[in-house]
Amino acid sequence: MTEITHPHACQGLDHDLSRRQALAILGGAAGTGIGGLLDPTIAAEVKRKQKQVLFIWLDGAMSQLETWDPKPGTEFGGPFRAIPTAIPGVRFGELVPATAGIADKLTVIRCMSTKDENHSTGVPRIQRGDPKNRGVTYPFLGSAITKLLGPPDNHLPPYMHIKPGRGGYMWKDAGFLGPRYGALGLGDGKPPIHIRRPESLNKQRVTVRDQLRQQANRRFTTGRLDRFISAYDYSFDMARQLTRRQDLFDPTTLPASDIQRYGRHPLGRHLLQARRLLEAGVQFVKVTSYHWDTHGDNFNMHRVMVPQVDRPFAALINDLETRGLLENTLVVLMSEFGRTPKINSRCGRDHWPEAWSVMLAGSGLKPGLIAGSTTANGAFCQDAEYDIGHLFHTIFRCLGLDAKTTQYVNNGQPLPIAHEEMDVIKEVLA
Amino acid sequence: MNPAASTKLAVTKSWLRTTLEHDRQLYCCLFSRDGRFVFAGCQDGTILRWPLESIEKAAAPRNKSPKTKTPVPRTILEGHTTWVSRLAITADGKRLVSSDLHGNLIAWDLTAKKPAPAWRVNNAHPGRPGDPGWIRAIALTSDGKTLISAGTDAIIRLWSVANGKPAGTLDGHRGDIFSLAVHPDGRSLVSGDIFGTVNQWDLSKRKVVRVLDAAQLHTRKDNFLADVGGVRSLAFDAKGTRLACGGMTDAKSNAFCPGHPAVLLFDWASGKQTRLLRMKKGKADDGPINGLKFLADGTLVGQGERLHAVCSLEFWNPDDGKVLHVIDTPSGYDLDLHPDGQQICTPVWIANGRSGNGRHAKPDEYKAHFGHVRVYQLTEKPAPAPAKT
Repeated sequence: MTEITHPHACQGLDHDLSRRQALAILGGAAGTGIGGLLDPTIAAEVKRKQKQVLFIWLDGAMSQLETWDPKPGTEFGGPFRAIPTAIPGVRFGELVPATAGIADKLTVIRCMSTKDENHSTGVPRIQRGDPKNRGVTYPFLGSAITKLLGPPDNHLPPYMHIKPGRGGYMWKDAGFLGPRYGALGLGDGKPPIHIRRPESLNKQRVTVRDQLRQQANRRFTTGRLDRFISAYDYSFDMARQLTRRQDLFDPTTLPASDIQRYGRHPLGRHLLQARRLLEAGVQFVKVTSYHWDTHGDNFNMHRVMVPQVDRPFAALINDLETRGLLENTLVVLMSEFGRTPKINSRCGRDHWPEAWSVMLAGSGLKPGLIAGSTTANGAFCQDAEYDIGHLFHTIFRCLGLDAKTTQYVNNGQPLPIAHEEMDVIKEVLA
Repeated sequence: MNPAASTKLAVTKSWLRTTLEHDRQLYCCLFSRDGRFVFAGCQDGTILRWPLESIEKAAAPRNKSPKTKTPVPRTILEGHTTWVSRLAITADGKRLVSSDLHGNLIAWDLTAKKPAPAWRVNNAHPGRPGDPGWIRAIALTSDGKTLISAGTDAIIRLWSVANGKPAGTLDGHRGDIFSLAVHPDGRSLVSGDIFGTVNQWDLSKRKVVRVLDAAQLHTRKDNFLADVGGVRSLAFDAKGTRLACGGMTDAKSNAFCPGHPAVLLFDWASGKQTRLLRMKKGKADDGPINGLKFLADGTLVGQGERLHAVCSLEFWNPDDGKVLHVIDTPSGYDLDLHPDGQQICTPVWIANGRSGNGRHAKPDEYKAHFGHVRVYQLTEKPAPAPAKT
């Protein structure tokens, strides 16, 4: 059984603090001043539980040179121009005018330098934070966050993954945490199939069926200790909870202006769906877009694809801010690496982990900041270099977790939650 | 004009006449009308001009090792701000027009010893915010008076060659335009777009009079983030009875953009597609046909992408669709035919160290790739002159 038992870690009991309990404490504190009454540990827990994450994953790798770190006029710069942003003196690529206009709300790290140049190994390595090999499979970021923060009491699956293609329960994300911490995949942003009760089934019959299911489950699990069985039960419960929130997936309730602002393409629709889930309180929302691996025709493809990120991303940041959600929501936009400065024979760019960019916004960050820089031609980091371990430390810190003092315990084995030889990227922290 | 050439086309005996080297990647190329020069447009925004007579002297010294190279003198034309996308020369040979991927057009006076800009138009194809306004194709009308340009704004724009003043627009495409060609009769223009639509324009009435369907050259699958392919190249035969549309079919993704190079042949009179030409089998094909020209004898030459950074120049008999000859080249992006009809030039990509994935280079070793112009002679190679006794 996985648990967190480090003296400074989130203890199991910490997570038993319900929103109701917290509100009761807060209510009791009203009038006399919260600070004097609320235990600092509980206060930190309450704060942590409000945190949410939006993780946008551009699978295959978007080019940093065509977006956040343009180098026009250099040998590797490509044909695009650079444009001014809302941060004086900082320029983005011309394909991201909407994001450039809100750059003062964003935090960009331009000196990511990671180890893996392949998709098959790089994707999991990056999304697991690339800790030292401890003989276990580390969880993906979404699973890690939902474990470490504990689920909010909103009866929604804490980790939902909007992706093209099919959905389903993605238990492998959870690694050693166990399948319970997997992601509920929403194929094309749609809810799991059969979320709607057929009209031929009345509520009474559904209840009877469920009782039968539970009975069979109990019988099957007697004498067995299988994490998968409890995970199936858990995912079933999650799906059942979702049947009560069908409104979250009802496209008819979306304002036409929002659909227009986000766009009708998959990323636009999926980021708009992500906003709805965040508004509803889903703790970790991941949005994946595939086909960014532009080894061929990089410039024609980026010209068409990057605007599909630019407009809905900027709309989403604005919406989160307007709704008062950005302060407690950490937004991460990234890929498994960057793309080569060298332009190959097919006018494409290949994989480049040497020097690339990550876009961040929201909780715990200093807005309007560009951290790090690359050489004049964009090929290498200049001065500071940050690995994925640094980014994980930083993400955890932005959510109120100290990765230096918090650890997992897996079957008695203490495991750091981020690479122990790395630390936060201090310059980006608020 | 070319003392090395025999007078009879013999594509099966074609040979590499010379290679012109540059330290940056090249994107397009063109022979001058008098056949004395080769021009190439570069990713660094320059246009290079090499004199062919000098090449003859520099490239084929009889008493030197073939590895010993004498630099070919060249002229550098500076004025573009980014990749030079296309080149065209007026029929009288006095004016070169060039376009770039910032939407700029420049007309160069070729009568000067060092060509200088006669006029320029900046941002000639303004797109929506966030659109770079690329110019992908240019052409000249037969009388040499009007320049035609097209690109990402999907609008064809006309300009006075004399002074660069706007001379009208042709609006009839739904998406990016990749290619243009003027019919030999001078009255019609064809334009090819990303969706495989080929519009035939009446240049005097300035309207679409016919649409040819080359949609086979476009692919958009449900999981794609972008349309892939398009009509990348267009060419009429000398009599104007055939139109060739180059590109690729069956793209497998919008990431690597791999597909099967293809040429669709149309009968101009009926507007019907008569053939689908493929590259010779035996090697994996991978990308579009980026250049097309008909030779004087009706042979069609095209340049299609193969796997592993190579292209092949394929020569087809358009009557039966058979491949007559294949020349392997590095990846190339354009094709032009010499005025003597017996040479072709292509700008090709040459590796400078590794290109692909990885963390494998030291900063001082990580340099841009090279670009060469290769000139091929399409006639039998002359026998070497006998040594003097």
